[in-house]
Amino acid sequence: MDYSKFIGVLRNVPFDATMEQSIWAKIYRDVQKKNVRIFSFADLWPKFLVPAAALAVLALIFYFNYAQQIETRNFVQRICSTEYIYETCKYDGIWN
Amino acid sequence: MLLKETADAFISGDLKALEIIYRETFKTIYQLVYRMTGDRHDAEDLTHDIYIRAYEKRALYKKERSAISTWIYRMAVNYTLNALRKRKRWSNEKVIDNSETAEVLIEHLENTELVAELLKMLNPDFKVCLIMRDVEDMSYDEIAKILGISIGTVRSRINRGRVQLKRLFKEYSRR
Repeated sequence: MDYSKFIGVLRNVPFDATMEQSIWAKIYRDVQKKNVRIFSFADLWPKFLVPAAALAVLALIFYFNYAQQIETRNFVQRICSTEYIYETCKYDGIWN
Repeated sequence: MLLKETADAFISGDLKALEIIYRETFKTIYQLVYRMTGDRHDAEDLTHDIYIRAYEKRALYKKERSAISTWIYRMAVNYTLNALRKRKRWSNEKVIDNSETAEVLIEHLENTELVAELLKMLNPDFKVCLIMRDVEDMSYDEIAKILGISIGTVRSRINRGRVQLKRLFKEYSRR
């Protein structure tokens, strides 16, 4: 056997319509059974909408709560500082 | 063209579109897989898996880039190559029963099954290039695009595949 004969045999692939039909029947069955779904962003975004909104609200609450805490801390630090107490007492006549 | 019109429906998951694509491409895909595996049952199983995979991965198909038949063909090549690599059925160490005489072997060589046996011994990367070039008459450029490799690599693989096949022919004719 030479190369051209080998290629000739390869070109001649056994093929019949029954086989085509039986493979299609299996594909059809399996696709339906598995209910193969497309996972594209277009399909998925509505599912993430509610959790994303909830997360955003939580983030805002946390942010304002944190900002309030910082403000309170700064205020306490300021009124507790020696300089503030000295100045206040000086003007109130307590210091002297 | 029919397949272009069907592409949108296919992407949206229409089974009827899948059937149309299947009818249009089945023969090419099955023949390719059969030539690569050399086994009818393997070819049937892999062809089935390829279409299931194509349906699962349909969101990845970009119709601007290639025709759907080319996309499925590329998927078939890669899927079959992976399957062959996993099975390692192309081992050069594989030999035919020594009890067979040379005459019987030569007779068998003319048989499709034995050609398939020879094919199984070829490295899958060389084999797919060889089949696409010599059996399916594709250009180097087409092969390179489908496999995602350079034209130089395609040429090299085809040459190496022919050399390996020539060596296998010699080994068999010596027996």
